[in-house]
Amino acid sequence: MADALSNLFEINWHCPGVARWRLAHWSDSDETVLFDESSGQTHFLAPLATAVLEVLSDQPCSGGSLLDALSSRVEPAELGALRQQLADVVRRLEAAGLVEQWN
Amino acid sequence: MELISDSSNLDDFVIAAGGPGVFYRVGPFQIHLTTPIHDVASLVYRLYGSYELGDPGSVSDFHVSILPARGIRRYVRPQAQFFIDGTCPFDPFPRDTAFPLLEWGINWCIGSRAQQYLILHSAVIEKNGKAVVLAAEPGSGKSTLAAALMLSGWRLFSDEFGLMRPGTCEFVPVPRTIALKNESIEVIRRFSDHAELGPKFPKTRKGTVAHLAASAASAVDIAPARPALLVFPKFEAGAQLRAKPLAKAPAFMKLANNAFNYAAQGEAGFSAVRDIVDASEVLLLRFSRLEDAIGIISDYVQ
Repeated sequence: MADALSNLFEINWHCPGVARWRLAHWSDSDETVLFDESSGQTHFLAPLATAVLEVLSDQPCSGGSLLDALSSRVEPAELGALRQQLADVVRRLEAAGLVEQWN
Repeated sequence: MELISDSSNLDDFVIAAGGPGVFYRVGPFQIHLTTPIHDVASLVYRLYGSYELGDPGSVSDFHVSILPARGIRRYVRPQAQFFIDGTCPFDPFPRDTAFPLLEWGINWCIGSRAQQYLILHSAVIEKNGKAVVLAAEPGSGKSTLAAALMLSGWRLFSDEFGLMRPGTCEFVPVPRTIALKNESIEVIRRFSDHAELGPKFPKTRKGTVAHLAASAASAVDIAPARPALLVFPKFEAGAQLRAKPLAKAPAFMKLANNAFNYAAQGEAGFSAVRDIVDASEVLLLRFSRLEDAIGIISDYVQ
């Protein structure tokens, strides 16, 4: 498990379809609705997934850099949980076709 | 504007229905109905009497017929069939439930053919130019609540379909009879002395059904309205009233799941649902008394 996590944070990630996304976001929560024109699918993004796509939409980066970028949003005691949650979210976003590995 | 009840008496209407057919307008749609079944035609005359007469010379959106089923069975257990453009999409119903068959059939026509609209499975009612969407699953009490609101002076757009043409952020009224089921029939009869209810049809697929006519104001006022409030109602017998705001992102997903044709609409559907959520406050509403629910909803459209 630890190896799998380590690998994930060494991989570079990007959002190849960002130009074909339509987003709906409201100020009453940190959740986002994303419509992907290329697949016709609508995705509900929880706050962490929203934050991941915000970062990766700006520029591709490694999972480690992603973790660094998001670490400032949580308390130090929550970093371990964030690492695990981030891995789960990135894998789910990959399965949904919203992020891809990139070299 | 010529209304059905102004244009002919009952006998002439029934004769026309059995011959070339009758034409009437329901919101944006013109319906051309033919039926030789007296009870069906007379109930249409009674419950749709305050609707605008259609124009036989213009294009009808739905050419529908309710005809007696043929075959030897008709001597033992008479049945009726619904036809749209000459095809019969459903199994026959018992003849004594021919009117519910007509109403369900027209629902089917709207739900399957009016694809120029985003079609929500919701009731829509309007007051002060503000549309309120009641989006919920069957059995949630949305039709009963919509009926009570209409009988309290609101304009009925529909108890079944929220029709929005993408890009407009306006709901289009398609007011038809409200098919009340089981306990709701007596609830509404007790709620208002003005409830114009048709006969009870027992033993339908949804239990006992009776049809409530739309108010006269609802029948002929086809002005669209922008949404102002999105409600996900849930009737629970004996429950305390509870109105809880819902964040807009989860509200979007609930509403998209509630639509008949969200996926088929593609980006237009996404934009339409986003427009509705943008324009609306959102409530989860649990209620057991109609008066309580009406009070909460009314507060939002003052």
